[in-house]
Amino acid sequence: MARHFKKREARRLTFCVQTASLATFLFLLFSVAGPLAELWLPADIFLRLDPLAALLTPAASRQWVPTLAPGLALLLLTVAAGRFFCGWICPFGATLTLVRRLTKSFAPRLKKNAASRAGWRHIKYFALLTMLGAAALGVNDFYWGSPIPLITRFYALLLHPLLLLLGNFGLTVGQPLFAAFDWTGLSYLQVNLRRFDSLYFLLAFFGTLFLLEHIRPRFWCRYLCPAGALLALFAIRPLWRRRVAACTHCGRCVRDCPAGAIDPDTMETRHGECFVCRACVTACPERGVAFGRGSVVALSGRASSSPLPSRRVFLGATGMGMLLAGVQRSGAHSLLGADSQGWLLSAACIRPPGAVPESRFPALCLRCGECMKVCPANALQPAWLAAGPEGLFSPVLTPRRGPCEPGCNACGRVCPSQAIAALPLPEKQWAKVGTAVVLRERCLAWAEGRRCVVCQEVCPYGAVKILQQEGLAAPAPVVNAARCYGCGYCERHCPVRVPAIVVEPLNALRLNGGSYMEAGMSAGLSLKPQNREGAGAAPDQTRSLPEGELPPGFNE
Amino acid sequence: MQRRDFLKWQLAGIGMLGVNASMLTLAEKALADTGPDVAVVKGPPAAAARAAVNMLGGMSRFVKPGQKVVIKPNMSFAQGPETATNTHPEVVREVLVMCKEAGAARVRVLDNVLQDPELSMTRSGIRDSCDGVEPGVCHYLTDVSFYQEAELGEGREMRINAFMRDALDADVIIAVPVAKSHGSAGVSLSIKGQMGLIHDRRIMHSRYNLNTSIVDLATRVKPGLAIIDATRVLTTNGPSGPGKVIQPGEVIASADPVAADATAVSSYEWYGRKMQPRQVEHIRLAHERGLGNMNIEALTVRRIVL
Repeated sequence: MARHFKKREARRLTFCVQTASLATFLFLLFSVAGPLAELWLPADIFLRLDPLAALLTPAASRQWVPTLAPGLALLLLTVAAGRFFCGWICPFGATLTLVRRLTKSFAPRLKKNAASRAGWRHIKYFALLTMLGAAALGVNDFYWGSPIPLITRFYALLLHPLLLLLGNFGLTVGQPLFAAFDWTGLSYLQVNLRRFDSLYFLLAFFGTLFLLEHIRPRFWCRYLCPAGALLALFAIRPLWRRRVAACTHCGRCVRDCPAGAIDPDTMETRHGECFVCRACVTACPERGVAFGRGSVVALSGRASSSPLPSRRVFLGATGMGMLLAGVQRSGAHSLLGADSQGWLLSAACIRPPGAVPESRFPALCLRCGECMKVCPANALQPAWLAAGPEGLFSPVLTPRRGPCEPGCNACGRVCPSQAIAALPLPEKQWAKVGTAVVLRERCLAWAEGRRCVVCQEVCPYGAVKILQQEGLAAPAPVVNAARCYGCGYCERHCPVRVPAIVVEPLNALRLNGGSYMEAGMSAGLSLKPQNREGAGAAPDQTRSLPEGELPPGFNE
Repeated sequence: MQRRDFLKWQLAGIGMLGVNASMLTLAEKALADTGPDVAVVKGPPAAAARAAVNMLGGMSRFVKPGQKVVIKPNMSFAQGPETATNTHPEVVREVLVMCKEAGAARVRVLDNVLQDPELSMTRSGIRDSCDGVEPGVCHYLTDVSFYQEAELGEGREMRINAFMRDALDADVIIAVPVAKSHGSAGVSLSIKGQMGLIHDRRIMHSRYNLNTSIVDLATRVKPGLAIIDATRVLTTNGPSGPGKVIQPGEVIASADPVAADATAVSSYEWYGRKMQPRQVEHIRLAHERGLGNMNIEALTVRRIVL
């Protein structure tokens, strides 16, 4: 009993830090939902700390990404102090621990067989090397295993909408009650429900990991996480590491270690596997375990028993990654290394404002979902195949779901890798995302000769004009491409069930740098949102009514 | 049947006039008590709104103590008052104050907004001005849970739609639109403005004839009082603008929304032209279907300047 208590006591510190880290992560993630508060921490600090993204994004995109520097700094710290990130900071690991504890009583009792698991540790190295090989050829495959973007998507795109749904249910059920008591604050509260694409992937991915937690704690972290593998390579002999002074081979540390970092046969520490969680320090009845500066003796001591895969496996995995990259580059939809001839760009591939050119976007985008989380209109959605197979889970603007608000630049402000540039509002106003196209065979005015001005009514840019056309019973909408931003208000509000006016990524401005305003002006654009505060509406008196023509909507 | 009753009443009236001249003065006196059919007041927004309602006999004529009132302004556009796409916040505020003074138990200022709801609420200035009177009365309702399916018994085309529960429950609906032109309906005034009380108004464009369904809607949620804000009028490029904004500085009020709309149509220029109420199809249809009187020549319209 006493021993049990002591154990809990000692693990409290790690647990507290881990919980605080997860709480901070969630706070930052959800505090960016509203007006972006200027916080003392960058809202995307955890994403910037992802070591895998930090190393491979510059490699794949062939450019230095300064915002991801903290992840590289973490690699250096790992040389000094081991994989403390995995044990203390990573919100992915903390989530797995939390879920394991919450679901302990429901979980199926699975047979544990430690021996068979030894080789599984190689999987994460294999994944890492494959991703490294692909990145070397300019292809981003690491989004499949980059832990912080994945866990960000789990909370922002999967869990958050579910909680909102629950909240909305509560409000709907309680509405008669609130109305009866005249609690106007509550009775008129609307939950802005969020919907996202590709949720089945997240459900399957995290559902599997949560199940695997009951086979081995931190199954993902031990066996699969490529970022963990990267940190492990930097933590083979950390300066600050586990030291064993006295050992009776009782095996308690082996049993309590959540990382499986202690070899059950030799009692040696595989430092690369160790999360520095200090569970072994308190598990040891001899008090013989401590973390501290590794001695020179140990440095020159026996060879590491860390289960690193063989050199052949390393080379093979890298080769596999290069092969994969080659296949992806040869894909019909890939824009990598292609000239602008023969590009297959889907009409649905409308990128957020300020996104870098499409040939570079999939390499830079971490697939963290921050932009989708922050988009007030729920317009940014993770793509399935809208951006080709290489653009899986990257953000696309879906105007029918919600338009791009002229007074908002949140997506660029939260993007950790600057795949979407952080543009000040006057610049963002010029970052044209596409052009609206009237589908005349569906349009009420063009096809049926009926009066409808909804697209003109909602257009914040004054780009839709309703003009009398030769041979039509009613005036019909025409889009002025130079004034159209592609915001999609028209598509969102078109009364035709399958919209008769749609935004396509035509003439979208995509720059590697420099001023969108200058580029837009020199491209002959005239983008003036008319509902921006202070901008005021410049009365459009240019069109005087021709003699004999009635004002629109009036009859003889 | 109604028309026949009306004619009978008229005949009886004429008969009485012929018989007894003293009855005439009585009738005139009765007319003077309820005020004119349409009141038009030129002045500062809030004061003009109050004076116009007072000319009709004061808010207590329309709102009885303990009643539930829905005020329907235009606040669909994320634009400031100078664009004349939303009702002037001071007009809405004054109407709210008058309803409270008349003893209304519950007043709500509601619209199903079109552009970004939060931006529309803040830029129109309406929520802030209402919060100054009673916090929590002004809301945009875009979520379907605030709406309830209801039939339009007298609808010709639109026979069902989801209405704001508050609008269905209300004892009085007061339309407080801004006067503006409208590309497909000609003008957007008190009758057209009721489209902000239903959930699916797209269907009025796509499935039904817009003008017919506007009148259908008015048969179900007819404003008991129309107060048209013509302090500024968007005379071109409505309903969203930007267009030519003139500043008549007037507020038009009437118990008959068709008469109020007709007065607004004939009082101001539209694309630089003088137009007749009958040239606006939904106003003409509303008149023909007995929802009100667009023949303002036959009505008493009293104009004052503050």
